[in-house]
Amino acid sequence: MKKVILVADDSPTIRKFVTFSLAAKGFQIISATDGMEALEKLPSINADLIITDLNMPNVDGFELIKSVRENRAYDEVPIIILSSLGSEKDIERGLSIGANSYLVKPFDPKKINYEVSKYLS
Amino acid sequence: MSEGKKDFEMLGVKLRELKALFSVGEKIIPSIQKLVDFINEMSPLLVHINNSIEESNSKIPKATDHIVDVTNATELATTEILDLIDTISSNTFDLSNALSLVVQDEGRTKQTLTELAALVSDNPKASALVKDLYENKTLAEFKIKADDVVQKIQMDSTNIAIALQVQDITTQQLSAVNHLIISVQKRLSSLMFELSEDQIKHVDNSHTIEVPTDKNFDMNASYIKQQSSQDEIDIMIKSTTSQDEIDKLFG
Repeated sequence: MKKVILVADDSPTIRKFVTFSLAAKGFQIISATDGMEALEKLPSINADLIITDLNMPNVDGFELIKSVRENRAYDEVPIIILSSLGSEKDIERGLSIGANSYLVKPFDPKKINYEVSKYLS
Repeated sequence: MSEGKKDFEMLGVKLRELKALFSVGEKIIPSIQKLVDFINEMSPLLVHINNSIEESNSKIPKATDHIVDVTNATELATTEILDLIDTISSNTFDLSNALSLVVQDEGRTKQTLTELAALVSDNPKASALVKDLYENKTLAEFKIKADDVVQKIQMDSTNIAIALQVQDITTQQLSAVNHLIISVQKRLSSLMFELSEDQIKHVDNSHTIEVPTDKNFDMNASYIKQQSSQDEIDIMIKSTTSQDEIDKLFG
């Protein structure tokens, strides 16, 4: 059975690129255009991992991570932040609220594959 | 002192005050005149400034629309290119698999040639021909070269896809510029309001624009294809790993 990865990013280019990077490795990619859509999809998809941007409309990445971590059903799901925000403050904030990894854009498919394999090997 | 005398004295005081006032008036009249002249001269200039602001204000929504159009167009084009890259990757993968099958077929052919060599072992000429056929490495060599080309195509495709992430960065920068333009328009509108209440009503009714809510942006987003920033983040993550996590890893 394919492992399911939920990708939340408002950029179609990034969603496509993440899919391009991971689908070939046998993962099922489900996309969400923002944090709100990701939270709506979570109960029905049984995600094994979440990849999220930080700057998103409606519900941003920080709120998404916080909501996921506050929900017992998903509090163990690994979360990878994929963002153009790369300041120490953003990284510390992202990790402190429960993200497991932090990737900065532009990213290399090898790097995202490596990070994903750390949690879904 | 009689009441009449007091009144006359008071009248004298008031007249002196009035005289002093006229004296001051005489002194400041030229300045007031200069001020009036200045305002008269400035009035057409203020009207001109007002018209310029109104004109700029009316053009700003078009500029923001153009930026949004450019963003959407590049987003669409980038997605299409990524689709094509995806197809190229898939096709090269299929090609590589097809070549592997051909090489497997060659293995079967060689097996047949081995059997044939055994059958014609008493015929030196036939044996030599079979040996020639067996040692023909053209297909295997071709496969190695083809695999090399396939690998290069896949690497180039990946690099193109990585480079296309610049579109996301550009979108964020354009969103930041749009945000800035909208802020300028709001400031211009308030300035126009101060200059002419009638005109602002006209402008506000026809050119109201809103900050797009479907796009969030990082003003400092930049396209840096260097590994160093990710390496720095990885070091930071490692340094923030808790003792519990370390214990889990080595526990």
